[in-house]
Amino acid sequence: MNDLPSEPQRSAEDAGPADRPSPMPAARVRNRLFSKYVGLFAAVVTLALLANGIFDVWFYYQEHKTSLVRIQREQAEAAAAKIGQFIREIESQLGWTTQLPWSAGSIEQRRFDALRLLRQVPAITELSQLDASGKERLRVSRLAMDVVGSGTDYSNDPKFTEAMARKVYYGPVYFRRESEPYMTLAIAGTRRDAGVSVAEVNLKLIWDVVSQIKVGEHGNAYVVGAQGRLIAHPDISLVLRNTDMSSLAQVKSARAGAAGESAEVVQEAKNIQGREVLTASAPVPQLGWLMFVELPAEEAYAPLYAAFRRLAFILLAALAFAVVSGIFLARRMVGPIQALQAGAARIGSGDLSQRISIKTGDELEGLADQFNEMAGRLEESYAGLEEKVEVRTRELAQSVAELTALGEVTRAVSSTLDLETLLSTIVAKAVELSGTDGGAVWVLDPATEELQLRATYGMSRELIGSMQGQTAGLNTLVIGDTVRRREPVQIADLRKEPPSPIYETVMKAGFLAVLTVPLIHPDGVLGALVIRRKEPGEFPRHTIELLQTFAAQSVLAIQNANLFAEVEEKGRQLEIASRHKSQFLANMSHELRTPLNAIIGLTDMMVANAPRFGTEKALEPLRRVHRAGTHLLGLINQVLDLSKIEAGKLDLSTESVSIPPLVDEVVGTARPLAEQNGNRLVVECAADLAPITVDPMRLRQILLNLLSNACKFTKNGEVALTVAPRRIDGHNVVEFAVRDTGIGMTAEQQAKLFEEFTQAESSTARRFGGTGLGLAITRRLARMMGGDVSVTSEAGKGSVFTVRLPGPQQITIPAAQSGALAPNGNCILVIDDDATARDLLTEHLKSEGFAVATADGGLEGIKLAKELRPMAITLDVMMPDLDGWSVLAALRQDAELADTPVIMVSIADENRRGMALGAAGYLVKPIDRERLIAMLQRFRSSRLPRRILVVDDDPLLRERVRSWLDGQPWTVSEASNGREALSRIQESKPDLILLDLMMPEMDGFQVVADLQRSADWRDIPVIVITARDLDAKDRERLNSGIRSVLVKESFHPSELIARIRRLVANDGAPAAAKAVS
Amino acid sequence: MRRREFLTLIGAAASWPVAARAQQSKQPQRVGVLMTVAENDPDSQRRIGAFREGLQALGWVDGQNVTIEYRWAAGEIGRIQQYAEELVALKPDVILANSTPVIGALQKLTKTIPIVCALVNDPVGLGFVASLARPGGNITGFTFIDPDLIGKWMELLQQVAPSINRAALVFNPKTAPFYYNFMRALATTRSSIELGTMAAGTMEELRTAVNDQDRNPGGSIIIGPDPFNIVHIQEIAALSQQHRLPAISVYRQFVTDGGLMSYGPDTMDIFRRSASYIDRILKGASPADLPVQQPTKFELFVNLKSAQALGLTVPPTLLALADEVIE
Repeated sequence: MNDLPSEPQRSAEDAGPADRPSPMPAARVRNRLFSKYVGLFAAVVTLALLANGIFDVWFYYQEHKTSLVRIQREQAEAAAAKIGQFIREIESQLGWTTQLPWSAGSIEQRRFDALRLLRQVPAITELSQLDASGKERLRVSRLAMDVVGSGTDYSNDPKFTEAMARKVYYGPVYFRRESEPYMTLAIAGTRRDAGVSVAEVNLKLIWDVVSQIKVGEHGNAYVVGAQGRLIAHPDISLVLRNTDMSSLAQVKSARAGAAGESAEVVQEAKNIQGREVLTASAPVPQLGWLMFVELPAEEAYAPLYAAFRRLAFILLAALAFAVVSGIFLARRMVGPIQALQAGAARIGSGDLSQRISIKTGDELEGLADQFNEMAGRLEESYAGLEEKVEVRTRELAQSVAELTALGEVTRAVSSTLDLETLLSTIVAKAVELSGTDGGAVWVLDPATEELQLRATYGMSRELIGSMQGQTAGLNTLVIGDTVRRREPVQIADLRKEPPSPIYETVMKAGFLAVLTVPLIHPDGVLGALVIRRKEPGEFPRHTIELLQTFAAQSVLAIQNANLFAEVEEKGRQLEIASRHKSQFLANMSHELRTPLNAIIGLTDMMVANAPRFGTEKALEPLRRVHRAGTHLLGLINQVLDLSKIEAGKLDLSTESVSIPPLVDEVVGTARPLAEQNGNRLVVECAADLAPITVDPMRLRQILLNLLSNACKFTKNGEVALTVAPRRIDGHNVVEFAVRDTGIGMTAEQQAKLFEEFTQAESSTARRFGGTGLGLAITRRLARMMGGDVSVTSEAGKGSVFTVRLPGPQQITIPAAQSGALAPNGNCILVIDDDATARDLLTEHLKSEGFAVATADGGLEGIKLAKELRPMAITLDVMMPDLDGWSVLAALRQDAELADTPVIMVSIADENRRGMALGAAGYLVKPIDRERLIAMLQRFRSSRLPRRILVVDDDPLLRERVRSWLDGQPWTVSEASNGREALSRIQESKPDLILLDLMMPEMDGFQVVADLQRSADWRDIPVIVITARDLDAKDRERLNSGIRSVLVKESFHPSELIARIRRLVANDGAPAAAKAVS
Repeated sequence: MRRREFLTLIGAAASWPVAARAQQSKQPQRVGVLMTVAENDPDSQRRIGAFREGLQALGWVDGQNVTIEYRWAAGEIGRIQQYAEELVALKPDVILANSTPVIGALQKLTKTIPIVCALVNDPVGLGFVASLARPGGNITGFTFIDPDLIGKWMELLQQVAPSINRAALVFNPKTAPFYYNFMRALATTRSSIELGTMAAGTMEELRTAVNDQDRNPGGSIIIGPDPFNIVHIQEIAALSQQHRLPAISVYRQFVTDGGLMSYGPDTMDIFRRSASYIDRILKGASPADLPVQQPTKFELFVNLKSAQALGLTVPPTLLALADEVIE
């Protein structure tokens, strides 16, 4: 059964979902019903016919068989009778010859009688007559010569003895001349002396009889003797062969029957040839022979088979007929049902005008009519419903349109915060919304209680002119009423009103109808909205309502605009204040630091070089001055920091930092503080800490802050700094714990501890001094770096401050298997998280003959760099796992990779596009001597520069630096500004430059830029000295080791290639400094 | 009732084409007939008529389901040979052969085409069949006479002409060689009449022989089955009358042509019955299994005119027994 929808249903489906009468089930139902009908019909007809046919055939078979057997028996009986007759005739003929005794009549007479007998009875071939003694007296023959009086003695022959005993003797069948069946028939006369007549009877006649019996086409008859031997058969050869038939079932049964035994009559058996036959028998009277008639079963049942064939044919024909008529009938049945279903489906899908047309005149038609009636009723009620819906829809559409208009208008009104624009918009939209010709907005001044015309629309210049600048009191006609009564007022026709100057003016402008709507807000009336129309007449109710709604919206917008104006004003003031504050802070920073710088620097110098200055005796006061200055500088920095944090302007400059050196440095700074209060400073720092990504300066600040606090609040105790990696909530953290044995804190104190300008209590401030900003800053910084600070404390027993920062980012730089590898001569490593950029770079590099390896992140990049030891690296700055700066830092820390040229490929600031900086490091003023030396140490370790150029506009600083470098293997030259520096470099190329950024004439940035532009000078390491408070961008600009910063979006590949070529060429030359501070 | 008719109709319609096709597909069977005598011989015509009747009774109609090719040799050895070859070349389904020489000719030409003999003599002695009961080859049929009949002829001659002491068998050794066998078989028969032979290839030879016979009184002649005899039966009858020789023949024609008498098998009956063997062979029976049959019906004809002419008195008992008496 086919489930596919038929063609019309498919088209119905195409027509759209609205009238889709679910075609699939329909098709299935149709087919099911149809085939059911057809099948049922065919089955009924076939079954009936089959049953009938089988019975027919069965009875026909039975009758046929019975009649066949009957016919056979009749034939057998007839044949048997014939044979019996034949024999009896011979007997009776023969009987005549034994009437007379031998004593009577002549032998000639007897011979004549005998010959006559031969003539009368053709079956007798030979006749002999024996006298009473058994002697042959006469023999006549057809074939042979007659013999008279041969005297042969037959007295002991059965034919004589039997005949004498029983009057008649039937001898066995024998064959004469090989092939002629004969039987000896002897009859004794009634008289004892009549002797015996012996006839040799040719049985071929019986054969003729048997042969003539026609049983069907191939049936035959045969005769079996008393001994079960075949006597006659159409196939004489069987007879000649003296065939024994007694073993055949039918012969056995018949013989038994003939012998008087009850035996079942065998009707079907195998004949002597082994073929199945239908057979019947009859005994031949007197002789004891049996006559059999048989018909091959094949032939006997041929009509039966024909009947079967006929039946099969009829069944087939009937089946075909049944199927055809079944299809016809099913069509007749299913067609209307289908039409009914389709119609019902269409009605169901909403096509109520559909009428089902079925003219079968039966229940189906009735059903269709009822469907039609139902559809009609539905249609009627739908029509009513639709009408209502239409009306409602129209109303709804109208209000939706109005609301939409109102919405649009309101949006337009709300789109501006400028009051004048707003009012103009309000009036314009009001006119548009009400479909009138002109309008105006009057605003009430609460102080004077007068209305001022603020905006107009659609009014002539004269009318505006006449009203411009006018104010209207609350008594003014219409407007005043509206404002006073706080409700809309309208005049349908000005001409019908009592004359008034205002009306005159308005009418002169062509307006005849006026509507005013108050602009009401909760606190009072804001003013009035006036619209005017040139057509006289009442304003429709919904227009008034619409305008009222609009007015309410407008009031909100006006209030917003007012509010915005206020806020804007305050914002401007705040901005100015903020600018002033920033200015102040920046100025203070500069102004405070500059003298402090001098103080600290000079006292430091005086302490360091006391003999030179003869200040040995004042050494201790100088030191105090130095300390105080340093402290002051710290305070200033703290204030600055906090203000920057407050303003959100504190940027962290994170990089990968190795903890132990940093801790050492911090402890070095804190140690004097601890010693001041007689505290022991204990440091426990895990030596194998992996570098973490933090802002080192800020971390230093945090630790120093906590340590100095601990030292401050502890006397003669112990301050301990413990640095250890921890794993908390599945994250690696590094924990910095500062423990002291100082005064400790109560719980309340702890609670307020991290608030700004707060110390444990005010008395503490007096006792210990301090701004109270330190811990607040510490917490802010710790949180900015992704960590936090916490405290546990007990009053009088000491405190533990714990800072936790995100741990190492698994920058597991692979172990030194790379050591075995030589730098890869022709390989460039591209590190970029953006696949497109990677591919682009790779393609360009490859086309230039470089081998390229790529890494899609910072960590992977570091790993590959270790393994491959590329000739150069291109490095993206912004990467998700580890940013370019951190990667760079990690690379620089590795002795083997430190020299690898790196090209930063980044999205750089538009202003500084293409700016190439080559700062090898930077120092922040005031310069820490140790750091300077440490930094220089790196250059010395890689190479031994002899000449250092110190560029600073401050001669004092230059002097100081020179004094520091005395005794070191440096030759120091000086320049007071950028220009001078360049000329110095021109004269003699230095091995290292210490460069101040802020200088007159030419600043440090410019110097760096110039150096970068020159191929000769590009490789000169530069260490920046700056008093500026370097922000992240500055540091980025000055970050060491960056050979190039290219703008990612716009760099030309050839430029990149050229730079790489340059770098590669330079690589063999004395290495440029690539150190990272 | 209507349904039954309808069904019968359908059944008939279904079975009709099959039957029609079966009939059409069957080629007519072919039967060759080789007669010894001439076509205009009335006796032979009667025999053939009987044969055709016999066939027709068994459902064989010449030109419909069977075609019969006739050849008439008119008693000539050469023609017998020629026609035998012709018929064998035609490869018929079965051949009806009329006489002993015809069978002799055919036997040499084919061992496969079944041959039914009508009127054959001594088939065993001549090697046509293995035995009468089971011929065993491609030849079977119906015998004409057996040696005993010669005794019967002599007896009949003696009854009509008690004075005779000799009887001579007239035959052509070329066409009836079996007589020598018969003579041997009869050697033991006791009879008061001496049996001799009168072999003749032509009428001239026969005349000469008769003349020789005629020199001594008490002679008679027996005209047994022989193509030569039947072809010249009228002349032989005239010859016997002319020489006043009592004569008996196997052929009825001898009597009608003026001979004394005849006694022999009913040949028409034999021809009629040979149709039944043809029928059985056409239906697939093998000639090897069909026993050679012997005549059962004998006829006695007497020509009283001839008897008078010879000065013989036919005994009334004989007349009473005669099937036909020609006055």
